[in-house]
Amino acid sequence: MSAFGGFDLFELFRAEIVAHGASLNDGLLRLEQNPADVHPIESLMRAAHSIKGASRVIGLDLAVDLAHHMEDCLVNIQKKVEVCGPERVEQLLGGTDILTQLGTLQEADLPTWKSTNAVDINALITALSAPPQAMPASVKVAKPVDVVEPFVPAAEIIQPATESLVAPTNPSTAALSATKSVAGSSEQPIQPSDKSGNTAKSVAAAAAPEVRTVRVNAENLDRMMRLAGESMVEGKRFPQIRRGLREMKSQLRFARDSFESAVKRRDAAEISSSLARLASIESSLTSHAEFLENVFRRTEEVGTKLYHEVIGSRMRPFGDVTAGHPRMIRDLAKKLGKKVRFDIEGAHVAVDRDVLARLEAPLNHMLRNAIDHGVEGPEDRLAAGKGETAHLRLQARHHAGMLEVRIRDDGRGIDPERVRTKVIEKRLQSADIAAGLNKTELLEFLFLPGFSTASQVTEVSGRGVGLDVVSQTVREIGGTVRLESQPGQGSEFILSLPITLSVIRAVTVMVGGEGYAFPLARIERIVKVDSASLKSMEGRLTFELDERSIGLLRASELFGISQTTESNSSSVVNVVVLGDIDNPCGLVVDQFMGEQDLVVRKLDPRLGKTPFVSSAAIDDEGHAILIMDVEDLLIGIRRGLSEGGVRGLDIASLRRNSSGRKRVLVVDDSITVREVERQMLARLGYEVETAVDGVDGFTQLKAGRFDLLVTDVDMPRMNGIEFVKALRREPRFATLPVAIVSYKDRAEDRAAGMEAGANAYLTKGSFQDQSFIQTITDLIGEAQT
Amino acid sequence: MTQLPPEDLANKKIGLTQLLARPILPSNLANNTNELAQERSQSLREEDTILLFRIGGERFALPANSVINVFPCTLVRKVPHRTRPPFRGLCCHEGAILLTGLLHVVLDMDMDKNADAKLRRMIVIGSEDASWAFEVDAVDCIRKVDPSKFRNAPSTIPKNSSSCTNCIIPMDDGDAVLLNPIAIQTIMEKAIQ
Repeated sequence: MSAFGGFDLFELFRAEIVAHGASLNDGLLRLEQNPADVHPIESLMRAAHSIKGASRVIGLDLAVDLAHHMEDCLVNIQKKVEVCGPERVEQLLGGTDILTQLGTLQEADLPTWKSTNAVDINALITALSAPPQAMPASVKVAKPVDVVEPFVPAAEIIQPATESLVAPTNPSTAALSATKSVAGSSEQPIQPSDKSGNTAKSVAAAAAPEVRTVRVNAENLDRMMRLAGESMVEGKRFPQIRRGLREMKSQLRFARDSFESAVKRRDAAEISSSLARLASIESSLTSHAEFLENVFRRTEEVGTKLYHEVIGSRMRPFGDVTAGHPRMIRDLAKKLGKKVRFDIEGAHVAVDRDVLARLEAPLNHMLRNAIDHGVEGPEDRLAAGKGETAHLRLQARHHAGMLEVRIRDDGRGIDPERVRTKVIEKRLQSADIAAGLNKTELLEFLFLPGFSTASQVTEVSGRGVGLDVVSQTVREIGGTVRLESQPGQGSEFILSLPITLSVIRAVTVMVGGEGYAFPLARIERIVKVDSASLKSMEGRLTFELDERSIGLLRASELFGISQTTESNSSSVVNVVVLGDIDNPCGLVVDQFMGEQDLVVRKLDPRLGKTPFVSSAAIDDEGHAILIMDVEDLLIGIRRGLSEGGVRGLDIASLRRNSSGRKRVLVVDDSITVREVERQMLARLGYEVETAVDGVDGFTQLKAGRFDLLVTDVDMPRMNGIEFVKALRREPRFATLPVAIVSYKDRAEDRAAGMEAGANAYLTKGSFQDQSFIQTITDLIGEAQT
Repeated sequence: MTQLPPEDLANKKIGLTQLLARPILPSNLANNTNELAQERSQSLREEDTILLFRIGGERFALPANSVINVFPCTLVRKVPHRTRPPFRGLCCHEGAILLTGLLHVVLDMDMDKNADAKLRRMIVIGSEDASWAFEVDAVDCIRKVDPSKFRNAPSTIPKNSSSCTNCIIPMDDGDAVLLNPIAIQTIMEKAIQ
């Protein structure tokens, strides 16, 4: 239980600290760039004042004192009592860092925060109270974790790359783990370890919020409430309609009875009166129908609006994720002795909060790399004929239904020839092939894991470090990333991402009578292929698409479910083409159902990781539908094919019904027996499929159409007797002819087989004479239908 | 009020003292304790309300407070590579996607093939965060019952994790088997592990 009267109060405090901390950071950076501009000071004062007030409510006197002195300082600057110099900005930023730590703490960590920061806060208060020139040397100014150590060769940066990807960009969160990044620095961290050295770790661990809270725009919430209210009001009109209909029903019954009675009595006046009543009822019914239609239309409209508002409530401005970037860029550039102008465009662009959360680390990484490796120092830039201040731009916009994020610098760019050399050195391609790669293809190598590990070429390796993780993160949220670069002119990363993860546009298909959804963005093509145009290659079916040969696999086999008989007999194969241009796969489905927007729901965690499924949704008909994990699917397809766990689609399985020949399934765990039976039957002209045991046999029977089953008795997993019994329990197999062929020839064995539901029981000696062939022919006749 | 003579009063006092000082038999003590502990009129509590339903012609009951929802049958989607009974798939109700099991498989019974399809219902048990839905042939009613009349399940019913039978509820219109919802959920969850 909260010491402050409830968890919510502390949650609000934290939210306020985060919001005002961001304002302080932003305003102080603007003030530093232009000390003469006093416009940001007003908002800075408000932010400091608000933090002071909130801290007072929580009872955090240390924070109150610090915020108070920061506010005093800002008042002096506004009144031009003092000029805002770099030292003062450092002090104010240091104070901001300490205060913003509060935004990530749990309530229980406050005593630790106080004891850890008391000395530094008091020193900072002294410094803020004194004229800027009199800043004591002992003041410890916080610095964010994103400030990297002095420039090190690329190879040394490689190892921490992944770590840096998960480092927080927010200065407040960064400060929590500052001990690590500033270790070895002459400055002391703002968050030192206690005697046991555990403070930073414990505070960082505690920083993980226990309860997830979501901020929703107040106007958005108001609109949702209005629509919810309206929806309820609309719902209340239905009882009125029901009452009216019931009334009309009784009127109708009365009118009908009167009419029938009048007809019997041949009472013309009464007939006329009944007819008038019926006309009145008809008129009433018409007006009711109109009323009902209005209510329906209105209900649908309100429902749709409410749906869009709810979805919209998940959207946040892109600026939410960039709040810490100006400070990070500023600190990093200063540390590396570079001059950088950083612009953000499209901070207002609305993006799903989940996309923003996933985007934070890749953006942070690419920006830091741009400053660290892409942008030259002032001397180098002047020598290259550029201005001494580099320009780094982060741009977000909605483009073609996607969020497009561009990170562009005007630095040294990437030399494709150096990349080509690396490709050959690392034996990723032969020299011949590498020589033919164009610039775009070469830059793709930078996204490969560890591509730059052995490289000492700064601009190349710097760009390669962690880019594989960037690429992977972007792919995971259904986006793409590409790099464009001109040597000497700069580089640009272009990320194309879904605007929301909550709603996806999906293609729905049927497989084995079940609906599945494929995210549209992850599908390369959907095509209907004429089975006559299929080609066989090493026993696998392929088809030609855009001069590429694409292998086919049955979705039902991958998913472990039965395929409908209709799909087997179709002369057209429905194919979903997945994968990239170089390595596409075709997944055969039963039917294409169409496109629809799906609101993505997480799968119940009790299901664990379900193969090939990423999430669930509710389709247009209100039924659950599974959304496929295309990445997982591609891995599964490739692994299955390479390990033989998944069979490619074979011609026979597709064309089995077009031949007009009868089909026999042979089930036996002995490959020799299977082969003997298969050959004997094939010689007679039957189409033969084989299975290795009862379970396999049952699966194949369900997946296809067969005219006869020939099965052994002794088999693993499911023996022949169990198999036949299970078969006979299914109505569709109740009449399927079944022949058991076994070594067991005792009378009780035969009796058991026949009782299970077999039509014939043969011993394997029947292969020697004609009894096997004769029995098959007796059961299903000649091979050709 | 009649005044007793002093000698009678003394005798009475002796008699009462002897009565109070007499040794109490353990059986008397137990009876009296039970008498005091038991409520005179058995008031029915929330947990004594059951939901009665049918599967395969048999009558079953679940504590009503374990039931989250009852709704008409809806389509159940199979989940790839999660096909081991009694797990059935996923169904949707009121915007929630629910794990769905096969209670008749847990009970080793068949659904009644002749049951009226219109009467089939899905019952949801568990909690909002961890629920299970399953189909039954029909839901009869919600009824208050007297727990003191419950009978033990036959000794042939195992008392282990594979059983979800709690006890038998005798009722005028036929007995019902009271099921243990926790055990049902445990068995169903094993199918997806």
